[in-house]
Amino acid sequence: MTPFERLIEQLVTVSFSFHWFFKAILLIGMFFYLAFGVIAVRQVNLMAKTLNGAFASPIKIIAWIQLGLIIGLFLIILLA
Amino acid sequence: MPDIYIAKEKEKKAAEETSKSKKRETESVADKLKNQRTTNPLASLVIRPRKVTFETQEKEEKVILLARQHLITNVRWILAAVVMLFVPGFVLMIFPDFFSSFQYRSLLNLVWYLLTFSFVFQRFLRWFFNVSIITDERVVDIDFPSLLYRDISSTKIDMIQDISVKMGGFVRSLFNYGDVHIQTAAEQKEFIFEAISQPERVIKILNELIAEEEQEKIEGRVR
Repeated sequence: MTPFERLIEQLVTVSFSFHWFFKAILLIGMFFYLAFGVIAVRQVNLMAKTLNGAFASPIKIIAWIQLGLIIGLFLIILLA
Repeated sequence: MPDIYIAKEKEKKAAEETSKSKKRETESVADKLKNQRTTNPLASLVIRPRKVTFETQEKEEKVILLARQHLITNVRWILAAVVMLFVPGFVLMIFPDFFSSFQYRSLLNLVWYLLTFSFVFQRFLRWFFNVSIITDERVVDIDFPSLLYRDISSTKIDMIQDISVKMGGFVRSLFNYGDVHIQTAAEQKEFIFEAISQPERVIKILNELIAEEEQEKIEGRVR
């Protein structure tokens, strides 16, 4: 059996694991969500710089909490 | 004798009244509105806000009014968020065997609720930071149409040519909100304050500011 034939056989007989497929899909999704979380923090800073008011600090804190939650969930999925 | 005494008192009162009316005449719109100050930072129409500043504000410029869309305009996304909260429960009710593993189900629930939170936060940010500001010198419109993009336009009060209000429909009449259209002689021909509450009040304040600006021009007090 040639190496190429062996590779084809391995690819054909590889057992499909739902767990890994599910995890990979979630991780890809979470990667984009993480990017969104970072952009949201920057967006809030830009907004608060443009219009500064009494409510700017709590909003900044919420944006950071959101980013923290996204990172936390990303790690949970990675370790699951 | 008593007549003379009364006459003196009357004179005193008259003098007081004239000094008061003179004071009222010289009082600026910003000073007049100090008594009607709004303290709620989440109000849709904030008069003489205490701690609000904006990026292009000049040193002596006073913020007279800050207008957001009426609170009722948020109802649609709030309802959508409430529906989103119940989606995992409904899915589980309809498909009880959809993900029998507790681990998968918990993960999906966590992702879904975090997405719901992000949706609510984004919608709130859009409402909170898309504002129209009237200062004693300018009209400023701040828009954030999308992530990391902003649009700030302004015009001087003395460039305003025409102000009109558009209010129509059951909900707008019921909650007293509408669009204020400001025509200007500046580069940007029209400013629209969309769905703001108490539009008549905003127009009244703007008219007072225009009159004040004209008076300043006559007296040569233009900044």
